[in-house]
Amino acid sequence: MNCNEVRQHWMLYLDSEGDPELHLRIRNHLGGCAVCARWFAEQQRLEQEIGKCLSTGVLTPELWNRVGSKATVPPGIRARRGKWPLLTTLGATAAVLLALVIFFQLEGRSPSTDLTRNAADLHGQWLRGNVRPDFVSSSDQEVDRYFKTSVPFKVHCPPRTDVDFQVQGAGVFFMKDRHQAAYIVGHVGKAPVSIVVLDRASLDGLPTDRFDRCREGDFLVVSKVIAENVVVVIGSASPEVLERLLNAYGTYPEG
Amino acid sequence: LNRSSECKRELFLTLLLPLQRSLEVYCRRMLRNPSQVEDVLQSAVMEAFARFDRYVEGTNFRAWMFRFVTLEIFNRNRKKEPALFRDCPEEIAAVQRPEDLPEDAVAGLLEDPSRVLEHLEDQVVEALWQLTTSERAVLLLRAIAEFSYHEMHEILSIPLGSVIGYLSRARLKMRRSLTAYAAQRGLFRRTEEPRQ
Repeated sequence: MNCNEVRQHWMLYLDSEGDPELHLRIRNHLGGCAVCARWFAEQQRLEQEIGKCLSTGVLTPELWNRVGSKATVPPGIRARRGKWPLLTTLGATAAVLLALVIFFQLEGRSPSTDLTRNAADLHGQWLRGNVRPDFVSSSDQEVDRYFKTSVPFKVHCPPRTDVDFQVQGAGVFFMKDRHQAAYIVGHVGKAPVSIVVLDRASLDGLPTDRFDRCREGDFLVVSKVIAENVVVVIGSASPEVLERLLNAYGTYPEG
Repeated sequence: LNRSSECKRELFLTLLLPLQRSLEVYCRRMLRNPSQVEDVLQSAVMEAFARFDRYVEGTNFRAWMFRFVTLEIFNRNRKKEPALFRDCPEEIAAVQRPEDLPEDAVAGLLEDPSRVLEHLEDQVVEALWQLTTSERAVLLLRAIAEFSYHEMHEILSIPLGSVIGYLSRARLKMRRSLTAYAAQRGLFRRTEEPRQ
């Protein structure tokens, strides 16, 4: 390695990145080249000093006390704020809710819920590769068997013959810290689709036999209470495809 | 993970404790509006805690937590800085080298960086704001939390090559800005000048 080549990799070397062989070759060069050794030492010193300036800052314990206590307590028992901020917040919330109700009534849709938000979030995470199914399989029967041992409620994986749903995998997660949910990911045609299934009994006060459709970001979400399950289908496929998949879910015989 | 709520909360807070300072500093440096620091941290911590069941013990909690904070910061800054992590063009992925700056311009900075920088505390922050959001994020993740390139790639969901490109670019821009500030303030040692 000559001086030019060595300096080309200056950042990898300083950050201890890159492969060990590269580091060895650079070290060998620096051992025999005083000019480069000095050059590297200067770069390192400067970066360290800038890094030191950037990372200077103190911890604010009171801030973290507030963050910790508010952020990790279930919403129902969160500490109350002062009277006026609370009233202001309530007023603003009421106004927003009213606007949403009017909007969704006009649109013929229902407002999105935590359930649909969580489901859409999971779908997005899967698409981005941040969530990998616990169980990978392209067989709906295998997925059915997986759920029999993974969740305490019944879950069916739609077979391909029904609506051309090609399963890719499945898993289990918790919604809002409490509700265990099963999810199935796959494709209908080229469109990625996720199905989230919960035990109906776990969701208190959920209206029965109600069909919901809403949009969460880039995704359309359709949901329905089907037998003992709450089923949510999410994807960027057409509404008809998602609804067909949702309706097909309810046609399976009890396993 | 079937933990009782209290155990879960305790574990979460235990893991969070050693990260608090670096998360707070990162947040303060990244946010355009410093009054949002507490809000951002609270939202990010709340979001992370809500998903803590999906965190696998023994994996990289530090990177996991920084990802939540970073996403929350991006959401807050979005109005002011709409262009975030677009597909990285090749010129961004290319590593910038110190030689790309005129040698004599940074010589003063390289000669005695600690002496120069101790006079430039505010300018370091100012120089940070000359960077794009992506450059600022990688520079700070590296400087404050010493994340590896791979961890930054996971936190920011951008290709590894982009991480390297943004980081090298950010470093050189910082040097350029700091050199200019130092020169303006006459902080570089001058060569012997004839005395009268």
